[in-house]
Amino acid sequence: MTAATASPDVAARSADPIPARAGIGLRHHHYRAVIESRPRVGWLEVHSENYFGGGRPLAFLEAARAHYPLSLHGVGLSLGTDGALDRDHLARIKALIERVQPALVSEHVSWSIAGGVYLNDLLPLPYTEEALQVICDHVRETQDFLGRRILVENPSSYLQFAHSTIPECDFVAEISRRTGCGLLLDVNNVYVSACNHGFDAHGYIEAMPREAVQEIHLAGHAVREIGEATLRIDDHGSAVCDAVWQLYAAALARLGPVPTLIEWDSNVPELPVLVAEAVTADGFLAKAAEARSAVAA
Amino acid sequence: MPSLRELQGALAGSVLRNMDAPLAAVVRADGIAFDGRLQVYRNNTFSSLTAALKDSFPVVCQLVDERFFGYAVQEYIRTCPPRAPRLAEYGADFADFLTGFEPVRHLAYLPDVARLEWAVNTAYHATDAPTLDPARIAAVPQERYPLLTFTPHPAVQLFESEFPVDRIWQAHQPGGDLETTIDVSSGGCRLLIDRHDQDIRFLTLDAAGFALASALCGARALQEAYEKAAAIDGAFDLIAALSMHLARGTFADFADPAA
Repeated sequence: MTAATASPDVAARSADPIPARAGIGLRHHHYRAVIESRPRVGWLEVHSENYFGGGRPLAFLEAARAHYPLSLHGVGLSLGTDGALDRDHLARIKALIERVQPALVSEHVSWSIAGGVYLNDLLPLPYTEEALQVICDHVRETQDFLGRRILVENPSSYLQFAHSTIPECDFVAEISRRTGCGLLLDVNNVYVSACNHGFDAHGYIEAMPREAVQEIHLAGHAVREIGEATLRIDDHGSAVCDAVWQLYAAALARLGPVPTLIEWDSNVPELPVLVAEAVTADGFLAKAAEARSAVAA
Repeated sequence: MPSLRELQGALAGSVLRNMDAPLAAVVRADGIAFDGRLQVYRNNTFSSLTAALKDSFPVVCQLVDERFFGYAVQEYIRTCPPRAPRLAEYGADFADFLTGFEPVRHLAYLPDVARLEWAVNTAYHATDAPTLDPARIAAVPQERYPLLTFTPHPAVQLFESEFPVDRIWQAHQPGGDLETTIDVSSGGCRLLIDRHDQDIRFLTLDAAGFALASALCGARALQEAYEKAAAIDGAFDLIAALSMHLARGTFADFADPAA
């Protein structure tokens, strides 16, 4: 059964925290390679919605989970929709949590559902007090339903609303302050949105409440010319660019070592390419840990 | 200033149907016209859903070629967008859409290929469940057999078509035989689709065997299911059929009203 009671083995794993190391997003292209080669990455993250059924996907996830700490990252809950949360969806997330015992559970500061239609994309919110209340209510409802803290991730976006009144970084920080949720700081998203909208990426990271940031995401993005202007598109389709590595270093300087995930979702390369990105991130994390212990000494 | 609900409704309309009028005033232009910005979201939605449908209906895609498939699913996404935030559930009505889609009206078998692919997807993503241990049925006194009912395993799908879509499907699998011409009027198929060690299996059934399996999976009692099969084939061997289903794991559980 999907919601099987935890075996002693599962119970033992449930204490598996995510280490302050680099992990990789596990996608189906790499199921076999990860289980057979067991790359030396600190942890794995998957999209929760891909494991609501049984069969091969769940069997691979459980096989991988036997060797790595796990984070469940949702893309479908649509915390920012003005309307009721999908209780059936929440129940499935909860059943999956019971089954695979993730150390972290996360979702997005965005919306994907309107009028009962699911757009399969993460759309931006207007940064208003109204939207803040909607998403905070949904974060609270989710945390109450799951009986645990979740993390929410800052979005990348390609438009801004004229009636937004709150800077995005303050909007995100305020969700954490009001609901007690943690933050998943996507450094690539900060960079993409900062370029697209002309805000200061470093200032954004400075505005993040230090203790709330429990995970970082890194990914590649695309650059698209639209007429005379440029839009950066968060397509997770290439290596992390230099500017994002630099911003990541700045984030670690402020936050200390934080578990960091490499995401790659389009033009997915062979596993060693992904692992090499994680090794690079591990280098930054080691430096951040050294700097921290130097300060402590 | 629109309410959040109004704004989200307007954006969804813009993404799915290019209805931009309500948005011009609320999206900052900032060097790129609002339509150029919305186009990024349209691309994200349509390209990701197209990829998902291609994963779910690879044989339909091969049969009509990728460009036409892209055109057909664009119409499908507009008229039947996903209703749940789970891509594994998207496409249940794609076969019905194809039935009414004028450009493929001449490919009468195509909706049935889509139905078969959907049945395969459903079996692939079904929840895990133990199969019914045949020893539990063996322990039931024979005189109580007529009223037994069965619960199919969640992966079990029954499929029937007047076209040989099972052969069409097989030919379009990796390593399949695409050289041999399949005559679409060469007879239909009746299949029980399930999952064994995570692999999808097809079991071909005759009309009587299909009637039995359909009745049992529809929670009819064994006696009633047998009568449906025997009405088609007077010599139908119930014991052999039931043993075969128990050995394959067609059922997850059973109920004995006399117990």
